[in-house]
Parts: sequence; C-alpha cells; structure tokens
Amino acid sequence: MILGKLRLMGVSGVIDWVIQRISSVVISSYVLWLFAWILTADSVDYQAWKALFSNFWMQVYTVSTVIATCAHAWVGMWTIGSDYLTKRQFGDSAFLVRATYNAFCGLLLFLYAFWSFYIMWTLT
Amino acid sequence: MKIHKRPINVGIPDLLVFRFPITAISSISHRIAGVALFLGLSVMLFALQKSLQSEESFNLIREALGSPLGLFIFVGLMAPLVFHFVAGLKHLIMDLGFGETFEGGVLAAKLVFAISALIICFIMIWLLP
Repeated sequence: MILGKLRLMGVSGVIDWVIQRISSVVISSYVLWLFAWILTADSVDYQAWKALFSNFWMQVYTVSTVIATCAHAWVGMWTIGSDYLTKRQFGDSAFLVRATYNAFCGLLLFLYAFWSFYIMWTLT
Repeated sequence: MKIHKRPINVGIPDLLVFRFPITAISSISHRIAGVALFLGLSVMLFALQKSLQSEESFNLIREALGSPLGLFIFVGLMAPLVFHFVAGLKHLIMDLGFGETFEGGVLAAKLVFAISALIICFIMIWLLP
C-alpha cells in the first residue's frame, strides 16, 4: 500500500493535512448550498424538501458530504485523542484508553456514513 | 518514561487557570466546536431521516423547531457549525499565505469571533417568528 509506505516514511501528517482541506471544501460547499436553497425556496414544505432529496445528484452530494465529514472528523478526533489521552494523563493504560477512544470514534463515523447512505437509499 | 510537569498543549482545565492569548482561545474553541459537531451529526441525520420519512414527521420536525427545546438544540448545532466553518475558512486563507504573522494571527482570531458571532445573531433573528 502506498499509504502504508508513506506512513512509514513519516509523511502521514501530510496526508491528514490534505484530507482535512479537501473534505472541508466539500462540506462547506454543501452547507452553503443547503442554506442558499432554504433561503431562496418559495416555501420549505415537505413536497419541495422531498423533491430536493429525491434528485439523484443531491443524494450523491449528501452521501459524499457525510463521507467527507467522517474523514474530516476522523483526523480531528484522532488528533485530539493523541493530544490529551497520553501517558502524562493515563500512565501505562494510555494506549488502551486511546485505542478504545479511537475505536469508538471510528465506529460512530462508520455508522454515520452507513446511516446517510441508508436514508438516501430508502427514499423514493 | 519520565513524566514532566510542563504543559504540552491546551487542556480544558488549563483554560480556567491561565490567561490565554485570543489565538489559543480560538484554537481550543475550534476543537470544542468540532467535537460538538462530531456528536451533533447524529441529531442532524436523525432530523434529516424524520423530515424525509413522511409529511407528518416533516411537520413534527418543523413544529419541534418552534419549541424552546427544539430551538435550543438547533442553535446548539448551528453555533458550533458556524464557528467551525469560519475558523476553518481562516485556516484555508492562511494556507494560501495571507496573515502569517503574529499580528495577522491575532487579527484573524478576532475576526473569526466577530464574524461567527454576527452570523449566529443573524440566524437567531431569522428564526424569530
């Protein structure tokens, strides 16, 4: 794996940096688009709302944004865990605490991605 | 491993003990807002699912937005979203090479607080019936 090799070379921080930037552009464009839609819609009722999310490309955009959010949040939450859940605070059990924390974050993010896919999939 | 007492990064308890420059407060707020959004995404997805399920559940979500608790939850999601958005935008602008000085950093942090406060106020006024 190229990613694995790059990690061994110690440049994984660069990958995280790039993931953070690209995902932030996807997420912020989606947020702006949704706000613009709500502000310019004639009326935000169920029919209009459902029609918006029934569009195939809106569904792709929504799932992509949630996946981008998961990648973004993974980098962020992992960084926070590495900063605060350390040997300084937890002694020898720090690794276990951090592994549990990372597993929880990863699981929840995976669930989010799957959930958004399920919401879009069961529409129509 | 030898444990040092030196502070390595800003912890939440440190915020109460030390006085921090506005850049540090902006940085930790960015993180706290990020964690809030990480957890809050569950509420957003739940609301999205309910709003698309049926006309009744859509109206239920709309009515909930009008209740004090619903409004509190909505603002509790929007405030970190707006702050994280503006603070993140600052990072992207700085990545392009703007404001990479001590004064620039302080000014940018002040602007982040001012602009996000303004946007949050606008959203709250917009929400008023």
